[in-house]
Amino acid sequence: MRQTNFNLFYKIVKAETHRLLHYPIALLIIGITFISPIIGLKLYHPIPSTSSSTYIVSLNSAYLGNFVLTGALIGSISFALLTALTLNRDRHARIDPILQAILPPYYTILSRVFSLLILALFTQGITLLLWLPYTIHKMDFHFRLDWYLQFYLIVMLPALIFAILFVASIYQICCHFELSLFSFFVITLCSLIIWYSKWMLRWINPPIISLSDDFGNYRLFLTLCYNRLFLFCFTTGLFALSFLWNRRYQKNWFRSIPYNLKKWQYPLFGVLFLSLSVFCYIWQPFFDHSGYATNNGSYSFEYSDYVFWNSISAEITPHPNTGRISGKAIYHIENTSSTEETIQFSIVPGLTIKSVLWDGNPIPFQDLHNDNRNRKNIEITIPALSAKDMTIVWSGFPQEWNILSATPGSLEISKDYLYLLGPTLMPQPETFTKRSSLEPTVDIKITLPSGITPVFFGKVYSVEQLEETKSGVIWHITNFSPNIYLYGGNYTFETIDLEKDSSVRFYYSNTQKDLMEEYQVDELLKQIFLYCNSHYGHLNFEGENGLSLIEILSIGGGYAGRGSSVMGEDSFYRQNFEDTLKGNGGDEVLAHEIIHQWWGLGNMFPIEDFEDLWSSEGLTVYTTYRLMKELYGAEYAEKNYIAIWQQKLADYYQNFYVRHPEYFHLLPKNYQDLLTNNFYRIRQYCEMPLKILKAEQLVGGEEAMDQILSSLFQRELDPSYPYLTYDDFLNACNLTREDLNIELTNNESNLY
Amino acid sequence: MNLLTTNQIFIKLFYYEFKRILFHKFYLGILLIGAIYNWLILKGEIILGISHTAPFSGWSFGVYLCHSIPLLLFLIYFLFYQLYYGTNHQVRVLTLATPISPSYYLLIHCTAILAAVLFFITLEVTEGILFLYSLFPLAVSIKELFAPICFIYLPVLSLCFGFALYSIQIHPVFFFGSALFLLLLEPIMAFLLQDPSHILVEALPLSINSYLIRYPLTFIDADTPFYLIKGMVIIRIFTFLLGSGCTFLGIRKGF
Amino acid sequence: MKIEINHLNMIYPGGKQALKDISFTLQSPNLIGLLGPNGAGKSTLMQLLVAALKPTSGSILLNGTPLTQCETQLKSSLGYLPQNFGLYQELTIQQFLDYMAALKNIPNSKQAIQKALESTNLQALNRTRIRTLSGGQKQRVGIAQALLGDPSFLIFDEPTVGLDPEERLNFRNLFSSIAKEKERLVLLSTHIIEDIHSVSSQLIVIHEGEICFLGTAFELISQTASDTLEDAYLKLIHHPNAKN
Repeated sequence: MRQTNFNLFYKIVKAETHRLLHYPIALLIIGITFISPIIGLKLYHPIPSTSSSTYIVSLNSAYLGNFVLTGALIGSISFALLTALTLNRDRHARIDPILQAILPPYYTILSRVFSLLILALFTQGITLLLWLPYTIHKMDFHFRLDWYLQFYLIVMLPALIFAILFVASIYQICCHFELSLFSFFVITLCSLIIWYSKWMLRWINPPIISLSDDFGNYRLFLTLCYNRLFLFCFTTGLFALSFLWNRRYQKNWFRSIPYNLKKWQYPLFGVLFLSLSVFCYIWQPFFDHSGYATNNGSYSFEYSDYVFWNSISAEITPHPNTGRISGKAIYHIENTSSTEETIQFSIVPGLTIKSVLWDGNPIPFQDLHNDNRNRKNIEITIPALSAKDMTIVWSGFPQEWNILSATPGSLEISKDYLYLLGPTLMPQPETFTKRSSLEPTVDIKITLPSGITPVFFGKVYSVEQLEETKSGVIWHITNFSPNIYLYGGNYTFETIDLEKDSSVRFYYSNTQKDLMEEYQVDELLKQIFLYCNSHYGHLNFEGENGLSLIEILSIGGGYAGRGSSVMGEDSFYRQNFEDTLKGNGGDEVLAHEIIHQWWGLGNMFPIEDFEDLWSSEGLTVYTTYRLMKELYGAEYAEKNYIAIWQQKLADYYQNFYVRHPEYFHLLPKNYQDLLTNNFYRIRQYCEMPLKILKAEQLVGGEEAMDQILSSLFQRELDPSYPYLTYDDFLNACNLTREDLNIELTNNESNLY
Repeated sequence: MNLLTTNQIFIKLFYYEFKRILFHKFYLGILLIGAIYNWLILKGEIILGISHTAPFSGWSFGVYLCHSIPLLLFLIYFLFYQLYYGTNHQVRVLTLATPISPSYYLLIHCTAILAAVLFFITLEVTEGILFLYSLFPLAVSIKELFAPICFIYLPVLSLCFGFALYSIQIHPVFFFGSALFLLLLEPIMAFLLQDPSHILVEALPLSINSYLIRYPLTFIDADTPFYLIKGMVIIRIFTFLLGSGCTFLGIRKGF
Repeated sequence: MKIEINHLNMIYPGGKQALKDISFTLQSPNLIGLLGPNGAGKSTLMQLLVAALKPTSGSILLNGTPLTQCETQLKSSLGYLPQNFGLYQELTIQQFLDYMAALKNIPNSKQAIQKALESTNLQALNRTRIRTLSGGQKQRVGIAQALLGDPSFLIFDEPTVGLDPEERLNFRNLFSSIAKEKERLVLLSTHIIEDIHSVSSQLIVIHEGEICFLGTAFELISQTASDTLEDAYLKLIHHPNAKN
């Protein structure tokens, strides 16, 4: 009997599919879906530009990301329309009462939805093949078939399926053509606008901020898979549940429920899948629960005066196929107190501690689950007066900071790329320090996929490649601290020699080699270094390893510190280099990040000063401007720096709430906070450089200012308060706060 | 035998048609969803003020109104779809055999649709004003908001009405096609003219969002009350007339 | 009222010829039965008579004036019940009839509605929403709207479909009395021969778009040498030349 039913169903689906293929509108919709990806080339750009002047994105973003996102948008709208039209057409043909009399219940709707799904699959297959040659042609050696298939099949195809299932569910519930399309319209609008920051709910425009050309897209792919899994559970559940309202015996929606409950498997299946989707939503493993406060002061702890660590040895294995990481570390810890002491380690949320052994014996530990700034703490109590080995075993899927949930994919662990920073790599001693020792007592063995070269942010004492095993290549790292930032990729490097035997090592992706040579990026870097060295002085942390500049998997800015400066790959997009006169291109971001090596590392600046806008950004932005003035001329610098600062500052002063503080105070608190943050950023990046520029004029020109800055850079540090303050700057210039007031408008802000 | 006056017929039929739309569950649903959507827009974007203008200025309010245009388009197209393909379609065999003039009958239907759309707009405007009033009770001036309401909605209503009415009488493909065309008018114009700040790109599409966002940025005094530049006014009036022309032609064709 | 139909031809855009050179005259008072198998062209003829369709060729004259010139005049004295029709589900019967009364420009609509409700035995249901009515009740609402305002020309296309035998009898008598007592012209199309036999004074049989008989029931029976009208009709349909 079951076999017969299956055969019958198969035949009906076949007949329905055949019928669909003879429906002119279906053919039209297949056609529209075929063509839709190309609209992402010029007309519609779902992936945001990394530059404010023109549209600049990576090649994969331009020819794959935009294509699949546009295909998903237009394809799913088309298929939603087709679903509603097909179901409505059949209902109006009044064939259902006849079919229902012949077929087992639900066969009609199931077969129609199945045939629509088959059509979607077919359309997707053809679309994929249709655009393959074009994409290969455009992307050249950046093209990767696995990424092409992955993103078409995880972004576009599911969107078509969700559209069909959603519309079919709503149609089944309300039996209303317009209402089902309208609901679809609403969830589409929500996905595009209202749920923009909710990565799981973005069904039609999954959160892709960029696709990497140089490194990896695996974490992003996994995140999208999860997004699709959640939505698949939801739409399937909704569809199965909607059978409750399947009209039976010409009853209305409500009176049909008792009859439909007899087929209890369907609603049960629906509830099961819906619960699964709720489960997926709540317990998603991709982002932590840190909260959105980026600069709250609550993250503080006290160091223990009695507990120290002496040495650490660890074996760490990232698992490139699953994006997980596991490891085992032995910490030699000493408690000099006569009482038990509680110590804390910090680790990235998502990793779990499997066991903690104290001198070979298991001891209790507590995961505090106190996610904050993408880390959490593990608390362990150790006995009094002891010095033993503590073994910690951990593993898990590291979570990204939830503040970044609209831009997933940075925490990559794959065969293409690894991004392992401090607490992602291993548990970091949090509340206790190292017994002062000049020996590199941290000893790590890490297995990296073959073909991956590790590059480190800051200094690492030594790195060597040990042996190649089945699972990868074992690297041996020794260091003074376990807080290691490791980037692994297809890196190559170039040494840029500066004057006086100092040199800079520039690490970048192998795929960029041609570009770097073609545009002489090494020359640009050299100019930056020569400029800053000659104007302000040498960086005092250019140690034995020298200074390293690293291209990493990220877009939008970078960060600097400890003798390293990292920049996102968008700084190296070909388009950025093709016309440097267009504006603040990638090379200038590069310059900005490198200049932070002089202004703004470690403890050079006091904690952000809202009152005076004094921070590392002011001097860095100013220096970048000066460098560009030297490289590209005064006119360029005037147009792309001073004019923009003035424009942004003028915008700030023009802001309604700045002009009318009386209305600002009428706003709810959260809006006041939001505006205050935005305003502060603009003033820090634009007003402060203008103030420094004004100081430059007041002290007698660029040369005089360079001398002042040079003296500030090379000043004698007071160890108790090593910061460079605004007052230091003003004193050096022999100016007062009032001297540097910027008068753009008569309206004085009195918000602060 | 004294027959009914034209007015009496109009009022009675209008009453029934309007009531049918007003109590249609779909219409009630779109009112509810519109209200929620508008609230989110007010709370997310408008409250901060658009392009340096006050949230209660005609500029910001105009942007708020522009956001609901796709919904409005959907509503108008839905009501026309209902008129031609819903229950009305089956009742038409009965009404066709009555002496009422097809154009006049269509006019009544259109008036009812218009009333329903105006009701939707009224609710939206009221929601916006109440929202602003709750935050800045002393600053909201209805007079200032009147101009954007007229300049945004009149051409939109006229064009959507005209296109929907005229295209549905030709073929369903034209009907859906014209809706898509109206929705995509802005990117189409921008693509054709290759200049996003061209006045045709700003004034011709249904939504004048980009004008409302761009233009106040050129002001020296950002508290300048809402106004449209001459070119905008001309194109908006042209749009209005174009829509009215289509409506007129559509009504002449009759139901 | 006099309706003359001259050499009427109707070809649908798809190419199907529904009516072929049809000519006859209708004059009130009269109840004319229109018989014919499915697809014979009955409904097309009726739609042409109510000016819902335009003939390909030929003419229809109303009291000597071409229908194209007096469409409004025809419609203001017409009651029409099509075979397939819809009703505003969300209105009550009373409201729907009020709506139709306005469309038909009927003065004293309340009285007219009351009369129509009485004739169709719907008084008790007048405040019921149409959505909740049974198929037969909806058919009666359809008849009621056709009777509104006491029109002088009534066209019923399959009016008794879905009605129970008692209702059918009532309506048969109602149609007959309208024709006889009120001296109206009633055109009744049906499959149910007994509906026509007892009441109609004239019979038109259409087959494949052509008139194959025009006369009284008695004439048809005698011409085909049959015992019953049903026999006669079947003979006529299967052997269209039998009458000769």
